[in-house]
Amino acid sequence: MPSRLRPVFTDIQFWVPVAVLLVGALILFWVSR
Amino acid sequence: MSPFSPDLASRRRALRTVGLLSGIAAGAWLGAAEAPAKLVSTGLSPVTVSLVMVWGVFLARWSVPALLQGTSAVGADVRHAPHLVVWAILAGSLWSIANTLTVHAIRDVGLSIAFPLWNSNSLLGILWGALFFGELRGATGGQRTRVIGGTIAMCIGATLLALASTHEAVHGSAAARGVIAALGAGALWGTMYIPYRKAYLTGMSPLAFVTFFTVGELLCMGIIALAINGATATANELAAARGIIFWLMLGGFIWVIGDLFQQYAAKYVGISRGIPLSNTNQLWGLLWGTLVFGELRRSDVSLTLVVVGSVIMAIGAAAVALATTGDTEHDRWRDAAEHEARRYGVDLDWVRARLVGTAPSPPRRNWIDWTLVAISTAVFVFVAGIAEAPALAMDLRWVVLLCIVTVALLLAAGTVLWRTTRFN
Repeated sequence: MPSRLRPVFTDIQFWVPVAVLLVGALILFWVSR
Repeated sequence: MSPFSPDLASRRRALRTVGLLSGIAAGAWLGAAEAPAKLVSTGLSPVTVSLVMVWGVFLARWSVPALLQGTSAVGADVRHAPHLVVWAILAGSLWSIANTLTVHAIRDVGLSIAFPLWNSNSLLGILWGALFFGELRGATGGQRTRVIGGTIAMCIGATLLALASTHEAVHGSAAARGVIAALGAGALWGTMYIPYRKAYLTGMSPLAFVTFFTVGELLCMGIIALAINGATATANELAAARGIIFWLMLGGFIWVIGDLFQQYAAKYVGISRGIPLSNTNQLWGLLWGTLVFGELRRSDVSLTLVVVGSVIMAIGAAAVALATTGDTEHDRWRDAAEHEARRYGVDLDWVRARLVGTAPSPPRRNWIDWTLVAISTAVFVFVAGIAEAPALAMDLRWVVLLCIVTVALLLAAGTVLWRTTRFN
């Protein structure tokens, strides 16, 4: 991984949106059943 | 211009005007984007509607930046802050899932319940802005009250408007599903502003950000369509509905113009002020619905509720717009920006300059830019050629008038943006 991308994955501000995205995807699959 | 020149205060004032005008123009264009979708009463699944809109969005997001600044400016931004590509793709993925959820929510509980629920995204935006980016820190009590109180007033106004303008019955078992879908969309859209703000604090131009944002949108939407509907069902739906593809893509295109202004608002007045302002799109959507499509001519619509809702929403928007960003708050933004620059190894001078909307050289267009514009135009001409004329009755006088006002806002905000920031 390029070194300039590395800090992204230790940044809490990255993981908050990722967590919300995963929950959103789960909701979407649930409402689409 | 050096960000530390004595006229920094006047530069900040100019940028605030740019941000506020952008927020207002965003509301008008995001509201107008609802109009083409109203022209088609589709039997398409929510996922396919969202997928076609995203095609229009994708074409707009590559051609408009190419036209305004050129892909070389996009490339230069990426070389300075390559990590922001990851953030842009993440934001695009959040947008596409939220957009699909709203289509589900409208279908299950109707716009009257769904809209106020996802409109709460502006409150979440304020929370993230304050928590992560130092927004509203250093603001006076009065400024905070105006932003938070104005946003709450806008949510109340939005609820009244939605209650007045729609009257769908909630379908028993689907109700909980629709409410959760709407809340989910609000949470996703509210959180999407984290990557927005992140990009702008680090100095990226909104035009560069949206170019990669849309890659996330298209990828995520493609995966969703294949996973939920499957390739065959999606292809069959699209083939059967080819007459309406143009209208959905046009909606996506208009939406991008609104979203670009929203991005500039987020950059220059922050997400706590920019997002509530662009949420005035509901007022514009109501104007289109009422004046062009005659949606409020039904006898069961409460005109009082419409007027009261609109006035509360407008007062809320005015309160947010008048909560000017003081120098202390600007300094907190600069601190947050410098923290970002150090963390990601971005040139501090570049970040400082871009934060106040300056760039080293004027943009230049090359053959790639003109090719992108030509391809987008050709695709739109093609889908327009196979489009079916809408059967819905429209008041053309109001169409013309609203188009004039909307384009005038585009020109006004666009001119100020160009003069002040050269679209940076």
